[in-house]
Amino acid sequence: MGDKAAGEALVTAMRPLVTGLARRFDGRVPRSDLEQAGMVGLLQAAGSFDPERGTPFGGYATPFVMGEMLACVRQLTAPVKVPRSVADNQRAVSAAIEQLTAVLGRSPTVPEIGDCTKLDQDAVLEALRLRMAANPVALDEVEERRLGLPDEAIRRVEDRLDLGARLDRLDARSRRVIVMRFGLELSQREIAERLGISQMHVSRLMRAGLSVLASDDPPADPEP
Amino acid sequence: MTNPTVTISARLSPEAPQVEVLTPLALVLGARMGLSIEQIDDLVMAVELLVRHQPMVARDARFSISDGRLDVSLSGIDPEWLERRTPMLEVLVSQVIGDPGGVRLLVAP
Repeated sequence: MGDKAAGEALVTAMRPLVTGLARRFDGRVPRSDLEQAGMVGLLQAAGSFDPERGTPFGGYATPFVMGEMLACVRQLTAPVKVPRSVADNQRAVSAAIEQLTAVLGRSPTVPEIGDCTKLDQDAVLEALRLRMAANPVALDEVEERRLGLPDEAIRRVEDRLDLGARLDRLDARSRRVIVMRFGLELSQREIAERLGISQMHVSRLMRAGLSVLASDDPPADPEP
Repeated sequence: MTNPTVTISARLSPEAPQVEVLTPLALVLGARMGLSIEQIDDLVMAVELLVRHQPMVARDARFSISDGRLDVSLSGIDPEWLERRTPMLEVLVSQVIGDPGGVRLLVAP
């Protein structure tokens, strides 16, 4: 068997190990990124594995795989360092969004935020881009008592969206936000009002939930 | 207010950071279209969902503003997956249209 064929056989055989280890980081970074990092660790382990020592390959490879996944998590969740002026703009834009949403009763547009903050459109867009790229929130920032939804509503959403029992894999808070958005079809603003949190916070909870749901979908075969 | 027709096309290699390329385009074109922050954010999530499901494929992307709406076209989408996920995507954007091997997302203010 050639090196390439052996490598492919190893990746196929060890994929369940990598997938299982990746689940430990669910909701923190996209599963696809974790699995890719895990495969790098797997190949590193294969390069130095000595079968003569009698150690099972899975046990030998696990620290390599976990090391690469942890590096991936650290890299993707590290705070984004931005110049002070950009950070100031980001705070001004966030405040303007909350203020305008309350006054207008709807989500504002970019020109409206520009008028409110006296920032030009490019500065507003840069601030928004950073908001969207921000790390998922700590999910325990939302009070549990605000999140009551009947299990029946959750089951309805699972059926409607063909998610099986996949919603069970989400943190309770992220699950509630996903159910409110996709089951009850509440807007982000309406969810924010119900939960007493900002629209940005809802957006991050949704993004964290969708990341887990997307990574749990059966993988599609890449194009030949 | 009428928006002049604008079209941006991109061909992305499998190794390209596709989410990082496509989401700023959605943001800029969404802003130009006059979408609300929430509509833009939902569109960005829809794009992320589509790309992350099937990463590492060559993909054509086209963002177009015309007829008072933003039209986002992406190739490299598994049709079976798209059929299952269309109800979810339809919450995020105004309309989801399956293309052969791809999808179009339409968003109107």
